[in-house]
Amino acid sequence: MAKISKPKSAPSIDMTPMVDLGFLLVTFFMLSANFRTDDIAVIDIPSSISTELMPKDFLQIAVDQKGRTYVSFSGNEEVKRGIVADLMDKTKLQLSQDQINSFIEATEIGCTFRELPKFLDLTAEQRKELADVEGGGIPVDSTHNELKIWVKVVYDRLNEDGKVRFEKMVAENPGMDKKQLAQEMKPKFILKADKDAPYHFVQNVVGTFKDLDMDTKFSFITGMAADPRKVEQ
Amino acid sequence: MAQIQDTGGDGKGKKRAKKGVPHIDMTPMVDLAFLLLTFFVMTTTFSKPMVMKVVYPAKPKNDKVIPPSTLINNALTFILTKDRAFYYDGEFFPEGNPKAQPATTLTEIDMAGVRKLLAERNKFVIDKKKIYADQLYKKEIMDTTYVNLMTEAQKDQKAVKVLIKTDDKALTKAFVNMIDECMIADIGTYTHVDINQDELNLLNTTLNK
Repeated sequence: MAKISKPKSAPSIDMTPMVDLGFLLVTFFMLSANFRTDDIAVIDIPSSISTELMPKDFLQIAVDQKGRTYVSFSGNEEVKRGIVADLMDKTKLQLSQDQINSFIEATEIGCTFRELPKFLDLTAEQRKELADVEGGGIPVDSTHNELKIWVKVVYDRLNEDGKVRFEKMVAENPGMDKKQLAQEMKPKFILKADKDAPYHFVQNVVGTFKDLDMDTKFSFITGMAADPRKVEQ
Repeated sequence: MAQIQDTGGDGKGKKRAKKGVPHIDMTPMVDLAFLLLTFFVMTTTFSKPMVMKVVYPAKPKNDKVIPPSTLINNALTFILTKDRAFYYDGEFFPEGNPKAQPATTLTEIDMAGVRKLLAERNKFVIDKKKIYADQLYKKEIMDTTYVNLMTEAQKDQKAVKVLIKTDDKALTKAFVNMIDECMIADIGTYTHVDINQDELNLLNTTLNK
């Protein structure tokens, strides 16, 4: 009988293709990555057939599954400095320089004005814990509505900034369509509601804007879904 | 791992010193590559979020009262509650109304039903859209003209309008789905309206049946 000879050296597997694939994937993900921001609110967005893109200048109100409300907004450091100064002025809040810097860096805010200094001292992980209580987030009740102050202050500042940029753009390119540009530079209102959030919470937010006599055009953030009209064609 | 294979010279003949085939240990590099891969896979979000526009009716001004008869003109009203949806056609008549019209009843409907109903009722706009789209395709009209014609068709008396009302238990996804159906059916005018007490009562009696 023929003896089965044991290989003398350790068997070697050629891993080159695997490594090649590994690098290919790394390259792909690196190039296509757009990072998830560390949001405090956990929101599972609904899907729709809409294919409109997110506006650049916005004030976003997020509503999570339990109806807690959070705000976030666009704007550069200067605009955010203006916002925090206005807020301190309106609510008689005292914030330290560190807290102001933390406000500028924050992606999303979900607490009462009284809690705001404490909220700004926390890390992102701790903020999530603070917000994750019954009745957390920004109060939107008819008796105690802090969202009103947020909307007013943030909208005014963003609008002002939009106007400045509009003037600059018009001065640089005189041939542009002014009406469309002015529309583009206006801050838009975005609603980011969880798909399982009771709708009346969203309605409360809309009601706040109505009470302020603001524009009632809103954009819901949605994931993509197939459009049945296009499938037919 | 990934290294050049050394062939021959195994036990045959004299043992020679290897002629400098370079062996580079690539294990750490590959480890790092996979670490990066894992990191990017975990942190990447692919789908850019889209936005869906909804225009809510503005707060009515006190000095400008619109007579209610002009409000309802070929409208369908959907009432959403938890997991279920109902609709009624045209104007709402409560039990024992002064106009002596038969009281409005709610009809239950599911999402597939909504699509069929809206497509049927909004046939006027959908048919027009087909004609305009065809003209656009043949380059008989400009795309700005197409948009204008579509807006005009959607504002026509024959085009259906959709009102969406919700009770306290309705979920956001039901509302978003409803708006979605309106967009699919090319409905020009759709909005959310606050539910009134009569409708709420009717909804509760219908639910308890």
